Amino acid sequence: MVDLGIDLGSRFVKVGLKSGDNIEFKLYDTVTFYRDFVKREGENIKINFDFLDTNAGRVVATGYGRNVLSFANAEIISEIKAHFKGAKVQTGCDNFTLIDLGGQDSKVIKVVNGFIEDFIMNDKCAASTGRFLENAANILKMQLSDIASSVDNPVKLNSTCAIFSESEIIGKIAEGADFRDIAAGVCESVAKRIAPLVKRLKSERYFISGGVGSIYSIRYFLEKEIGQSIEPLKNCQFNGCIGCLNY
Amino acid sequence: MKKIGFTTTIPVEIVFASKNIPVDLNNVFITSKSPYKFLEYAEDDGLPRNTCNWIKGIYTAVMKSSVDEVIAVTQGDCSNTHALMELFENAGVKVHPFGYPFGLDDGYEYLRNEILNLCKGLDVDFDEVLEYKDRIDIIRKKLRHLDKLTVQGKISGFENHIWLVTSTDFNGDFIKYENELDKFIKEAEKRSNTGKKVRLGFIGVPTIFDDIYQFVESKGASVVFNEVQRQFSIPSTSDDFIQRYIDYTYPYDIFKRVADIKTQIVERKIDGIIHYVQSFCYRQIQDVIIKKSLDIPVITIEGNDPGNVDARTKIRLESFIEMLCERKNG
Ligand code: SF4
Repeated sequence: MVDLGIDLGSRFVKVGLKSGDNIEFKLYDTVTFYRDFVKREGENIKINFDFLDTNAGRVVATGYGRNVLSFANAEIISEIKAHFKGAKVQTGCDNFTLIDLGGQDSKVIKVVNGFIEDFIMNDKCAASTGRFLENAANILKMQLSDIASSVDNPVKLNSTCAIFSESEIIGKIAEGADFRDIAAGVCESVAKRIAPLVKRLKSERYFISGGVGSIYSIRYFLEKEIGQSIEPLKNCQFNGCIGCLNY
Repeated sequence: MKKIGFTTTIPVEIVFASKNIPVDLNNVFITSKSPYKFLEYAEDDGLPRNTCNWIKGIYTAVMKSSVDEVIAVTQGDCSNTHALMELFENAGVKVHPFGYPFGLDDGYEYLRNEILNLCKGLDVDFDEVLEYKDRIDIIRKKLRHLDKLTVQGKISGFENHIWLVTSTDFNGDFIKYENELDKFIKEAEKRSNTGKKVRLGFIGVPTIFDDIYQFVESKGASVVFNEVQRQFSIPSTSDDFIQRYIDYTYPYDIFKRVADIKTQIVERKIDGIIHYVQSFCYRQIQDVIIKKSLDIPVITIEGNDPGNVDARTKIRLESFIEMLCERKNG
């Protein structure tokens, strides 16, 4: 029997499986996960645990809001709570600011004396998210891992909107700019969009999580923007699952 | 009897004294069967997409002849009203401009003049206005009582919102309004206290969402304060009619509002504030000062279209309430 912590993101579903002290993580494409493992049973929507070798114990899930999500066989907690808890457990810290950068959402959560003091979520704009980075990588025909190491000579991107940024990137290619410089520019522009949110919730220590949080060049530019170091969480992408498992 | 529309709260006693029917144009728009149609109509007429939807709603309400004449508040409310007024005049609608004083130093004299001008425009004697004031004061007192019952947890934040927001024109008939209010209060007084753990206040322009109160209250919070709706009901108890509209905080600077909000936070034991802002409203800029000035958590919620609260906003609100809950439980 295993306990499950599930983080249903917009891009990936992250699953943490806990038996005893041992935690194992799995990553699924979100659409595939819904197609294969979420079933309607009469009135209810249920997660189908066929992907497990054993029985499911306690199941706690987070994701696109408990108002949208409802599973008959899982407890749902809010993303803010899940990420806060995950960071607290992973770091053992009571005073910090967590920057969680996901597929479509960015959140910044400030924790004081072990409680959430304040939080901000990006509003109505995808230009600072993983989806935007993926699109940029597609346009540049580069792997995310190559983008992740591009920090030199960032090309300046001015657009305030994800879609217009994409055409701006194509414009830069046409002007003959170096692809790695453009990639660095993309990361810098992401960092520049998140920085004001982070600056509003200042702390002594900063941690970063989420798929985008694991990308080195994003962290590099963000540190430059806020003038402080940012520590990546150990299980960066699975922080939400860990929060669920410890809830 | 003419229907006199207005763009934001004006001394409604004047309209009643003129024996005409006051109509708050915002309410015509938002309570119509399909507010969306109002927006489409305005955009078809060329109003820019990046203009506040309240403005478009008011525009359509007038163009569709919901009213005979319009009182346009040209100062102390929305600067967009200036252009609206021009559109109305261009369309042959009779417009009475009305301004609240910007600086308050000689504000009293200024407002007195504006009020007397409006009286002239509507062909009514100021003494008659004062008679109506005395009559309507009885209702205003009941509204203050209703507001108190909200703080006590007998009246929901949404009910409070509806009663106070409709007190701008008393739905055109203050006697009928008062009868319904009496009935409502009598019923509410018998209720047991439904107060929830977390106490919230709404500040900023009235929300365009139609289910935000229900959503927030379903998540375990009570809304015990509606800042501008309360102001719309003219809560000042001054005997001086002019002074009352000087005490009314909405049309003046942000600092007067902040002072009022701070007092209410303490009196009503409010744990957190929802600052509602409308897309494309210049008042969003004041969010900076509000966040700096209030020492309890403030979440800023932006609305654009009428209808239900969107999923993202729900997540933010829910997390905000959760955060307040945990703080409260220590
Ligand atoms: S919400 Fe703002 S922009 Fe819209 S009418 Fe009111 S004051 Fe004007």
